[in-house]
Amino acid sequence: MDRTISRLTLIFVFLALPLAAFTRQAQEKPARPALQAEPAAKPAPPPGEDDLPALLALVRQAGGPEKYPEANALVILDKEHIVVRENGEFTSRQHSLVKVLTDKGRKTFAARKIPYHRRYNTVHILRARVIKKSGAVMDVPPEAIKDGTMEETQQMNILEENFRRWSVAYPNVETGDSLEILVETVSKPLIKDHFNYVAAFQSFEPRLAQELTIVAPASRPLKQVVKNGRVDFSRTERDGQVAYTWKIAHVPQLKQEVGMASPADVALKLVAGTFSSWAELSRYGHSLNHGKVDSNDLMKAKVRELTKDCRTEEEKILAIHRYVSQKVRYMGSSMDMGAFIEPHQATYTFEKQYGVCRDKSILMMAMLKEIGVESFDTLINISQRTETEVPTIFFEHAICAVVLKDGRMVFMDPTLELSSSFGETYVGDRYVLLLDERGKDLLRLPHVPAEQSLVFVRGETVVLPDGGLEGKVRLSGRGFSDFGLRSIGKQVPAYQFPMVFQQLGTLLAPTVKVADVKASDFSDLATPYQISFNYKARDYLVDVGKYKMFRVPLASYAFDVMSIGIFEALTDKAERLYPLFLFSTRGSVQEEVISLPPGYEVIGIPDPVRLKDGPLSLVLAAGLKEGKIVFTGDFRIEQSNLDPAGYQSLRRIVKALRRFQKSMVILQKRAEPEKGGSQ
Amino acid sequence: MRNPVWRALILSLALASLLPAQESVENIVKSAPSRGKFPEATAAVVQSRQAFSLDRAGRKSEDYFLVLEVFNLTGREKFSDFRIPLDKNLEKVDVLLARTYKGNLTAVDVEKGAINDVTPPYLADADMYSNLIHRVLSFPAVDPGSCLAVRYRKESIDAPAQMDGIVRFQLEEPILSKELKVILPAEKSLKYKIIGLNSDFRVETSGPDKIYTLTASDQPQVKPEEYMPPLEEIGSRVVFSTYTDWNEACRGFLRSFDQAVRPTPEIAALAADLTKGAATPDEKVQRLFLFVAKDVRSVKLPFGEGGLEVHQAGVVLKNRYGDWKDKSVLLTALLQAAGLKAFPVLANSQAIPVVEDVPSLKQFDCVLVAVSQGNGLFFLNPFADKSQFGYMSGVDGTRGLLIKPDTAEFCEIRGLSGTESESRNEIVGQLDGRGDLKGKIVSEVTGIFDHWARQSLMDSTAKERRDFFVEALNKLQEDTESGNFKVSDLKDLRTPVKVSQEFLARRFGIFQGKIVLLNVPDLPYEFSGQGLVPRLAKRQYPLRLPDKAAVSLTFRVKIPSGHKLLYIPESFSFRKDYGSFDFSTAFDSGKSELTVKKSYTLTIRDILPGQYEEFKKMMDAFSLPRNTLILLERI
Repeated sequence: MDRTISRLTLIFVFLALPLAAFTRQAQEKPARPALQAEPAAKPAPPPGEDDLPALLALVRQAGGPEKYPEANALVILDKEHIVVRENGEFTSRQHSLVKVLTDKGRKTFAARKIPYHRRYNTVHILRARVIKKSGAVMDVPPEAIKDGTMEETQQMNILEENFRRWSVAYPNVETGDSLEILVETVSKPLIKDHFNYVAAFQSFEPRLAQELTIVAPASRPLKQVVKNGRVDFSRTERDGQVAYTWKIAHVPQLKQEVGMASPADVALKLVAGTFSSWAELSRYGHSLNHGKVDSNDLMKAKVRELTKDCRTEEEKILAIHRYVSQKVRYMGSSMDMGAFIEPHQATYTFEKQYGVCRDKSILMMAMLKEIGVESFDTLINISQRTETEVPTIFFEHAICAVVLKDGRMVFMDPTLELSSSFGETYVGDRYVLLLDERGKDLLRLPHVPAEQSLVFVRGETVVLPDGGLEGKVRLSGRGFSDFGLRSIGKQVPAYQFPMVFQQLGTLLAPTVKVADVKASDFSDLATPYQISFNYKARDYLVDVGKYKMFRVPLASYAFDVMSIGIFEALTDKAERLYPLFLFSTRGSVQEEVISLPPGYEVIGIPDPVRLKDGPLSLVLAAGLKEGKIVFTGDFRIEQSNLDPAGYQSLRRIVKALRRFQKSMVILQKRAEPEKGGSQ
Repeated sequence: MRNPVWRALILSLALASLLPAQESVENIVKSAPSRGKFPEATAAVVQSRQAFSLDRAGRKSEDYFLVLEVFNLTGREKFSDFRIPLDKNLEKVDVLLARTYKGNLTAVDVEKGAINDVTPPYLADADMYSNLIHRVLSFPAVDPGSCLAVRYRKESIDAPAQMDGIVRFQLEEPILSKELKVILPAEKSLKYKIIGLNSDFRVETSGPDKIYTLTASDQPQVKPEEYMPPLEEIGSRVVFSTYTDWNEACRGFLRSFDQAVRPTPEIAALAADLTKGAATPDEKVQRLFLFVAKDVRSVKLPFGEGGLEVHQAGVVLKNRYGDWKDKSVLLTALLQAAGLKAFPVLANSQAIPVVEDVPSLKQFDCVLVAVSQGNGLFFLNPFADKSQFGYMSGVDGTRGLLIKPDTAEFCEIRGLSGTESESRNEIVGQLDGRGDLKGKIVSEVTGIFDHWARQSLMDSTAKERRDFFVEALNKLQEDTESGNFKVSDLKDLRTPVKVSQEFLARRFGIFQGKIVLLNVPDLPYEFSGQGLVPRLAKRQYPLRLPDKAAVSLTFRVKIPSGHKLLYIPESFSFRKDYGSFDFSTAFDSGKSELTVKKSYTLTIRDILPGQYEEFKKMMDAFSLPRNTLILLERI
């Protein structure tokens, strides 16, 4: 799903350069605040940029590892002053000072990256220097400041050399040293006559003092909200200019957690913008699409070709969606002025057959228009929450809202190459903004239950008299799980596909041998995707004299590629501070029929589990039916972003699962009937 | 024959077959196979041609041509953005053809805006060192069934006078036809080795040039398996060079290294300070090494990628960061300033065997330092800030190129005695009547396991370390309570890692009626070797272990009164050429104490496909249900 967090994500970087605090975190791993308990301390005014003695005093007073034993570095000072002009242009001057506390901090902070876009931003690194523990000052030499392209955009398959960053390599950095940088950035507006901003007041390092001032014309009043805590705020107005200032001191650090929600969701932050309402933003976004939803003869012909055999509206829409999602490759280049948020012409994308999310969405709209179906270009956040209080352009992704004849609206994502369902299941509980000429308000989509994103693992298993096991397994899915299975089919080359199930099978038994792995065509979205294989495992039973014992094979969840990662890798922590990001509600159904060797009777089976715990549920049951053991497992998560309480539910569920997995089916040899038998 | 016009004409004739006209490109596209011929491939190289030329002025160039057919969406994602590596200070590139041929032969050119120069992601933290960029050609209109055609010419800006290279003839995709040409002035000779191909170069003289041509067809795809040797080693390839010997191949690097290694007063003072009071030369070496490994930041740039120029040792010291060349020059300078003999050693960190008959530095990717001691050498890895002192992760037992001021010679790289990879683990506990197990884990590790332990724990804060030990217990039993734990001083690279941890595993014993099930635990930590499990049923390529290794676990548990032993696994022992495998169980009824010991020792790194099935069977034996289960019965 990396690429669904697409071009619009870049807005966070280029529209909001101070998010460097976040982007640094992204280089390592993401984060959340524990701010609720601690009100913000009253900040002292920060020293002037050129006041070295005052900076040295700050460094001395800052404290070290003894005071911050959980930190690798300390943000002593982060001060930013932004001046916004009427047309939305703005100049930012950022001054920061970071003290290195550990070896890890030294490695992390000794090189600093400053992202920019060659067309929108001009960056001047006014000062970069190391303040040694001793108080001596060392400038970064010019040859240690290099310009290059951004790695993050390449990971999103945006291969545009205008997405750049300066890299500053601080020399002679030792623990205890402090790293200073003063940067001025002049930015052209991405949004005509408007200003949008998000600033992080919290990062993976404790922050001692931070001050942000935005000076904007009074004619462009700034809406603003601080999330996840409190910050001192003041507002002054003079000569038609309003100065908004936020100050905070002693902000605790965020903590890294594997699989955690976006740091942007959990950090103390400011969201600010000049749009008066979501409807205004909706109208603005629509204006960028003006003339883009175009068509030509080739496109018309293609639509006719795609829909000629379709009988229903749904079939036609699906045919177009599948064409755009699969034929148009996700790739960003030649992104012209405004292209972060302004799409290319539909006909251009149609011709080149590549584009980013908004390009694909616009193309889909254009093609739907040809069959008389109304649709909306729609903005959505995937990996992070939408802050509803302030209308801003900070969306990660664009999808298509399709209006059906009966008035219902279906949300389809033409960026996902392998989404087969009619409407995405992942959109549940998320906010969307439809771009519309008349302007639309932010819309929260209804919950989509895990039921619609289940994976099914069905097995027929034979326990052999020699203690081995033979099994047949079939996997299929619906909604998000179908998408997940197809994505694995795409990512894993055909020759490695059997290896994946062989490797997973070792969770069931070390001796497993998986064979005859067959998968339908992952790219054929019209046909249900299915994976099937057989397996054998020797020495599965434990022979204990009069008993034979074995564990229920599919209770291992070994072959459940959609759930096994949650059980194996995401539940080790005793507690989590932040939500666990799961992308979508989801679940799993396991069904197994186990044939037993002749001459044995079942004298023990694992105790059933029936747990409904917060947003999760787990049902595990093994029973005897017509001489066979029938196992069923049903696991569901009804939150796509599992909150800390939900995580504890998950822990309890996994604990119950593990006990079931370790329990045994116990067989006993039947007593031989007496010769002659009874009448 | 020395007329440049004449030479250019001959060269162009020689290259004519390399640079097909558009018609012939279309013919090549037409000859692309159907996907059905390669059901396991995501794409296929229909034709690939590379010609390396060295002219009389010493300038070199590469002409490259490729037609690749994309079979599915996976192949489209992998190949639609074609990258040309380019050192912008030393080379220039002209893209002569970049075009998608759709299934119906419609051609769509790569537009200007879709050609971008980007910093390679793997150089993200090393770009101050390298001028390497990737020129990316993003192909439009790529569908399964489309062919991508690329032709470019890369020329050196300077005149290096020599040429060397490694060209792979086998990839993860099948290659239908590949041709390599090396074109040299006739008086030059080519040293080369062809690995994995049955054919040899055809040598022709054409005017003033000698042309070496090697062709291969229908090269099968390499299908990567977990833990196999690198693709660069597995696949067929050609290593070639015009250098006469290793001394000549090293000359440029040596010259730069020699100039850079000269100690400055600051280096001399630092060496004196660091070695003050050191009782032995060994101690001097340790102190100097630890400074460079730990206090000078490592910039992970493979040797050779940013050129061969070495920064002055004094500058590296001032900057406190460096790549392989720079960290090794600083370490060498410090050692020399302390009166020790030290030299750089070029090595291959992936243990790809070096073709010693072909003098090409392209076969190396890292620089170690060798210290001369008596008649022997010992080796230091200046990047090894999280390993036992003297441990040679990945390169132990490989051959490296020792570069002395007057000569370059091969030597065997060996780690110090005591850094062999061993993992010794013990889990000891007392079970009570409710099935709770209270006990202690002890893990002592060296070599690769020590390295993994330091990677996991060395940079962790106190809370992160506490979390690590709590979370590790999940492998023993979910929700196990962690008690006190101890970790040896991880910053002391001279002492192997030792950890111990107390625990309480509630309901470790599972009651089913009168029977109590106990599961024999696995190794306690990831760093102690949990992941060293062969999972594939069979292999086409060797299984490359991270190191030769000895791993053991002892599980000892006292059982509560009122219980009798119902089942305990049987012991076994195997001895093979490549290692030994031992499993023993015992029950001391007097002490009511159960003991399960499992251990294996592997004396080679590569388990060959022919050995694998047997090897796996023995490793599997440790984790068979019957060998991981103990049954008690309540009486």
